[in-house]
Amino acid sequence: MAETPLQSLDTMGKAELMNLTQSRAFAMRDLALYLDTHPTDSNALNQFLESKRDYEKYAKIYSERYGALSMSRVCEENGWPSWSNTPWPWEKEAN
Amino acid sequence: MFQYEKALQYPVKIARPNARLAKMIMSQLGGPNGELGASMRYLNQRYTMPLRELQGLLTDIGTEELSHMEMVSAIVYQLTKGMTPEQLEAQGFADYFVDHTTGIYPVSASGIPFSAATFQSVGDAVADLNEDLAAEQKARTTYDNILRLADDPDVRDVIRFLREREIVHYQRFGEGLRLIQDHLSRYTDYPDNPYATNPSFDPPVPRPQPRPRKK
Repeated sequence: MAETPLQSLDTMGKAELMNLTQSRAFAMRDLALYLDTHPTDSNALNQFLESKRDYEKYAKIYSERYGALSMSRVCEENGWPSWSNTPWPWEKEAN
Repeated sequence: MFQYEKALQYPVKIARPNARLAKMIMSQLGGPNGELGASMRYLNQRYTMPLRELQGLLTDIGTEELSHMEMVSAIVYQLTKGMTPEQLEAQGFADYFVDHTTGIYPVSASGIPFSAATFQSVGDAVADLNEDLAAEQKARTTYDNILRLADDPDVRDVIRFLREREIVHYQRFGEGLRLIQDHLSRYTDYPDNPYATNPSFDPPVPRPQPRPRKK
């Protein structure tokens, strides 16, 4: 079951929003491995789709506010530096 | 095709540098049971898997291992950042420092550079999946040994996450092996010994069906 975030998305800080986004990405990846060996489990598929829907929502907000999570999320307003000049994941300040 | 997501699978935020610990953790990047070998093992084995489900499983786990490689590298990077040469030497890091400074280079804890000889791809689904099962347990053992030696809570938290993933992968590979066994028992000419053929190379032989009885 996906938890509802305790804090409003509008006031959520960078690290919290990243954790929320990646918690949904992780749920998707873990369910993906299960679905690879249980492809007809509809309950698992529903959980996957629920995580995916949340992930898409949070990843979009994160990318617009704090920097593109992937190249395909670079937008006109934020420009290229939102991909290339925000902290890279191995830096302490990115986590 | 692979696309990059600018995030770690699980956050790495190490407060205290510790080069001695970095050298141990490094083994899960370039050592015999490490994440680089894991991703290369699965991503190379997947092409000849006889079932699409297994090609998918190896693709998805192999991709996750690339994320784990990045997490291990992030730990080593943060553990050695901002230290003086004297501090690095005092913590047993001088021999690595001479060749690599604090750059990330895949070696084992005993300093042996990464080698493709640490994994196999023999083009036989049953053999490859059994190797994968063993590999996940060996990686779990290595993480257990790191946890026996590491006392930094920031590092231990990440290592425990990675250790859990080895166990999940072991479960999924076990299910994958069962899928192949079910497949073989349906198609092979040797129903009592499904391991007598190479299911990735030899064409499937339909199992003889009992003749319908005449009324």
